[in-house]
This record gives sequence, structure tokens and C-alpha cells, in this order.
Amino acid sequence: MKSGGSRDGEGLADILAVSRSIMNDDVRTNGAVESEAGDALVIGDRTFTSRLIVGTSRYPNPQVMLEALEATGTELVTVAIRRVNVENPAPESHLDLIRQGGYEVLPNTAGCYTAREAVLVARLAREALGTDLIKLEVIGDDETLMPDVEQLLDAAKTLVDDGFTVLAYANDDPITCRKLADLGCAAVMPLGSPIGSGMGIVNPYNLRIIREEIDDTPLIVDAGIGTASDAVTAMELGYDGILLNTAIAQAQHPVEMAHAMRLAVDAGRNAHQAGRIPRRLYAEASSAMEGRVGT
Amino acid sequence: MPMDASASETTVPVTVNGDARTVPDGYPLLDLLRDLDIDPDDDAATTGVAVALNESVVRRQDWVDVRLAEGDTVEVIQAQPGG
Repeated sequence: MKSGGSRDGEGLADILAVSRSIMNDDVRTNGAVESEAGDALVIGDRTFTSRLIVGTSRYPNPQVMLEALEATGTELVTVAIRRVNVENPAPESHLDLIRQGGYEVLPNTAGCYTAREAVLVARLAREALGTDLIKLEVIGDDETLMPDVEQLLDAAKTLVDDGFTVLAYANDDPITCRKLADLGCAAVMPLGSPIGSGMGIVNPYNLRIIREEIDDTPLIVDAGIGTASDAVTAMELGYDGILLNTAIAQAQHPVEMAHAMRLAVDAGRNAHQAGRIPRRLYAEASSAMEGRVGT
Repeated sequence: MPMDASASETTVPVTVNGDARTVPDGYPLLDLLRDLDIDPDDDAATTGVAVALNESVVRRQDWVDVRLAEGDTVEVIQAQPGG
């Protein structure tokens, strides 16, 4: 025991009190029962208890979506902005369902290839939904859905200048992420792996560098999460949150996976704050060698 | 010829949500929305809907003033499932 326990004259009760105090100061949980504002996710002028942002697409049906969203504990959910199509109208109640659930809406610019398109979609979203939040996504092609960095930076600058609270989907590239943060994005969201791929965190070293170099802007891993351990990994790397959709929506049992993701984000967050032990190549005995039986 | 009759005399090409259309010159935006099954007088029907004319957003309160002209590009959008 490193502190307190070995000092003379300190009773067990005192040690436990100190221990509890340390827990309360440094290792806050953000689960449903013990949520505390002190460990909130702050994006722009908004404060979220949950560190999970969840998409609303690709669920088996709306009821499963609602149950899954509930199970994640999320407060912020994404929607796409699409043309009204007379032949193929949107589920009329999609926005109503989300709002009735009490979730804040984060519109995205998914499907935009140019800054010009993304800026127009963001402005339409602001008008349609009455929010300044925008998940900025400017992609370069259909196969990878990777961001087009030039267009992304251009759009980010325009939207920040226009008063948007920009959450920018980015490559796992420290330079691009730094530029997005410097432009005034409210959150920078490097991908773990390609959108919808479920490949997890393919370059944890880059994500670590991005975290180490950007300590003034919330960082969220967006895209590529496949299962709970991926979310844990991202959070253990010190990320402020996770944005995911397919991993839950297309799981065999979406609601169960939603619950697992909630636990994963909390576990990863707590482990990050707790501070992991250094890795060692060789063993180090947990039990004291002193007083062992034998020679 | 009465001035208010001229609107129906001529038709003009416009683009609506990416599709070419022909509408009477000066066609009201509100009528175009009705063509898209959006009742502009129904708050529930227009919740979550936004309109852009030639890449500029038209605020909800200004819809009533918009008349379409030749070559106009109109986008009418709404929130849908997305990630």
C-alpha cells in the first residue's frame, strides 16, 4: 500500500475514509447510478453525463432502436439530413421518436464530398432542427468513406466562423486533428477504422499521439468500433467519448450490445483515470517473498 | 392582359431535390411543398423540414414570399436515420 496504510497510529476507519475521499476526487464514475457532473463530457456549451454518442440508423426496427438507445444511456444521437422523397418518404416519426426519448439531436453531413455541400447541409440542418451542433463529415470516396482533408478543413473553418458547434470526423492523423482543433472545432473525432467496418482501433499509436498532442479539445473516437473491447481501448487511451452506430444496430442482439457499450465506455474511462500499471517484460510477484516456506 | 394572370402563362425549368421539373413561372414555394406532400400550414408536417433556394437557406417564416424563377435550384430536406 502506497499511502496512509503503513503509517503508525492510523486506524482502518481513517484509511477507508481517505480512500473514499480519493475515490470521490479522482475516480468518479459516470454510470447511471453514480453519475456526477464532475466527470461530464463538455462539448461547446453543452454538458453530457454519458460519453457515448449513438447513431440512429440500421436498426432492425424503431422499437429496437429506442430500446438500444435507452440501454446505452446516451444523451446525444446522430441523424442524417436527406432530401424529402415523395416516392420514399422518411419514417415520419423518426425525429419525433428521438425527441420523445429526450435525446439531443446531432445532425451529420454524411454523404457530402465537398466543403460547399457540407456547409449547405449544416445550414439546412440548423434550420430544420434548431441546433448549432453539427457532425462534420466530408468524404473522399464511397469505398473507404475516408475524409477529404482539404475539403474538411475548409468546411470546418466556414462552419466555426458561422457559429456552429462543430464535431469533426477526421482521419487518425495527428496533423489534421491538430488543425481541426486549432480552427475551433468543439470536438475532434478521429476514426478508429473505416465507417461501418467494425475493425476496431487499427492504429492505437496514432490515437495516442493525437491525445498527447491535443489536450485542449475533446477527442472522440468516431467510426470503426466493432465490439465492447474496442470502446474500452479508445477510452483507456484517454479519449473523451465514443461515437458509434453499426456495432450496436447490426449486432445480433442490439439492446444487449448497447448495454455492453455503456459498460465498456465507463470501464475504459475509469481505467484511464485510475492509471494503469506499466507493462513489464518479466514477472513481478504479487505475494511477498519474505517469510515464504522453504529455503 | 392582367398582371396576375401572367404567372400561369409561362412555364420554366427548375431543379427540385436534384430532379428537373417544369413549373409555372413564379410558382409559389408553398405549392411546391404541397407537391412534395408537405403541408406548409401543418406545423407537425414541417417540423424537421428545411428549404434552400439556390444554395441559401430560406427561413421558415420566409417560405410564403418565395416564387420560383427559371433555373432555380430548390432543396427540401428532413432528418432521417443516420450515424
